[in-house]
Amino acid sequence: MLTADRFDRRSMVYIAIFGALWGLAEATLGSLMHLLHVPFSGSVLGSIGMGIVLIARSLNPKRGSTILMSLIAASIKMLSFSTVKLGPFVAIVVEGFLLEILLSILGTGRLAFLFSALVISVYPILQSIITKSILFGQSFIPVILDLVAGISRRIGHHAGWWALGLYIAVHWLLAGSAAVFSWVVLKRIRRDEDHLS
Amino acid sequence: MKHLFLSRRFWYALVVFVAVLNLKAAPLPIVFAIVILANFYNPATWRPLINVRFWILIAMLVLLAPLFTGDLESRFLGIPYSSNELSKMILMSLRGIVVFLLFQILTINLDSQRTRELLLKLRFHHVDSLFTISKETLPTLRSILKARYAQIIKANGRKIHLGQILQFASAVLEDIVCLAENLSTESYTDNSIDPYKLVETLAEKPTSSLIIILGDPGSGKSPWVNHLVSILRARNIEVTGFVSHKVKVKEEVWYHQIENLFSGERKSLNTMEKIPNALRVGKFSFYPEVFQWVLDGTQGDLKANWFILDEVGPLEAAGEGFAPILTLLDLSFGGNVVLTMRTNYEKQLETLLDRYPNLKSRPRIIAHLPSSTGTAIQPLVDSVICDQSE
Repeated sequence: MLTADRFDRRSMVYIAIFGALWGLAEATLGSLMHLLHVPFSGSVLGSIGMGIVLIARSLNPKRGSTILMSLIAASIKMLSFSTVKLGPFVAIVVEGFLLEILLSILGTGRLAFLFSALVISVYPILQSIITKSILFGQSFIPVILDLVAGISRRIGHHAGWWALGLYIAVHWLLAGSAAVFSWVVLKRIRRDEDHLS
Repeated sequence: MKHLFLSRRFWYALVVFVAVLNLKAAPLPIVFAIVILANFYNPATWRPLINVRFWILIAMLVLLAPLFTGDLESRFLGIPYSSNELSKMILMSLRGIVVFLLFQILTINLDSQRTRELLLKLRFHHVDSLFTISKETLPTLRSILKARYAQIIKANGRKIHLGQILQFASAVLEDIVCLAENLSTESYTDNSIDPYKLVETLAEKPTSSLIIILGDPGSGKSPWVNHLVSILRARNIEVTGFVSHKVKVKEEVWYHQIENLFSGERKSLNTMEKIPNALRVGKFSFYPEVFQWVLDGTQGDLKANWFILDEVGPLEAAGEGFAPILTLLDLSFGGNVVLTMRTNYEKQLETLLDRYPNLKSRPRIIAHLPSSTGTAIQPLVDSVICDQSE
């Protein structure tokens, strides 16, 4: 379990502050995007969360810190919930759990940023598949695949598959951009630290 | 477990679950009945159904799947469609609505307090102090975001492009790292005390101590106590007692809740409204029954290693408020006792302790929390923007 001795004062501060930032982004941007019916809002928020986690974990490389950050973020998000509660909470905590596993194995180098982007780009799709399968039943996925194949057949030019590919590509693009951005910011922060020291 | 089966939520959820299993028998009447049932449980459960977003996927399933899948044996306005697929999609959508309502009934009452209690039960001991720190830093984070946004707007007007968004996000993250570093290096003043050090020091002592934590309002007494509790719990040291939490109702109006550290249960301690025949200190009237509740809770928790009593003051010095709890601790509690007090009540400390000779005779540690910095993390709003020139 996560023992007190594992986290010193600095670690606790980093977890609390970056967790709060993640929660604040989820609560404010999430509500705004929900209100404006912005498409891919789950993926945008997931990518922002990943960017925050990557920076925080690089500056505070403690195992277990990412899970705790996600719990803080999910609790703060919960303060802003209107009526749907379980989905966003689970989404944030599972994202934290996935990133924790990845960063514990790969550390915080370029490879970790790359794989985090890959995982987080697939995660909203996977989460959507699981949620929708629970809601609409096991036949949800076959229905969607049939629909994609049917659209391709009727319209031609593999239109259905292109649409599905585009959907996945947007997710990759968002997560990839967040990873590149957090890498750049991290380098900038480290450069400033070196400069000051 | 018994509590679960007695709950209203359990029976409502069970009815909806049975409805999901039997939906095919009479789909539309069942869905209608479940929506009414959900409304009886809590009208908020079905509110997301009026959101357009909820219907986008359902519309896609019902409108597109019959046009592009299955045998197109039927026609509507000359457009061929599969009536079999249409029936399947309608049933699938209705199932989606009912399952959604089932989850809503199960989770609508979830809030951050219940989540916190659940996490503590799952032995995530840090969550309490981390959540306190996070809540304290939220205003600072908002200040950073506002200040940086104002800078961007001032420099570029309302025409914001991607580069400026990246510049904004980058500046904000750098400020937050700066804030984290500032707070990490913030040290306790000479006459205050680090909860880690306190636990370690007292672990080596053979006798139990009385620890008095003094601080002004907002100095961080409660975060300090939360921090101490999480350290003790993480080390499997049994800690119990009562801590208070300030709850803001609106601007300039708040009250305090008192939490039993053993059970996690909370009750309102006071109110700014006047209550007839109630104890009144400053702006607050104290609910008389809550003191009995605290006393009952204390009688059940006297085997712990540590006991914490938050916000002891003039009421207790006058033999009221938590005085019976202090008497009980004085006579029957062998572990370390932590009392928090406001700094301006320090002069009354000896008067207070005269009533409790056993507590008074213990080795005593008095720590002053500095008014501006606090223990855990007080916001440093004015110093968070690392580089104002950006």
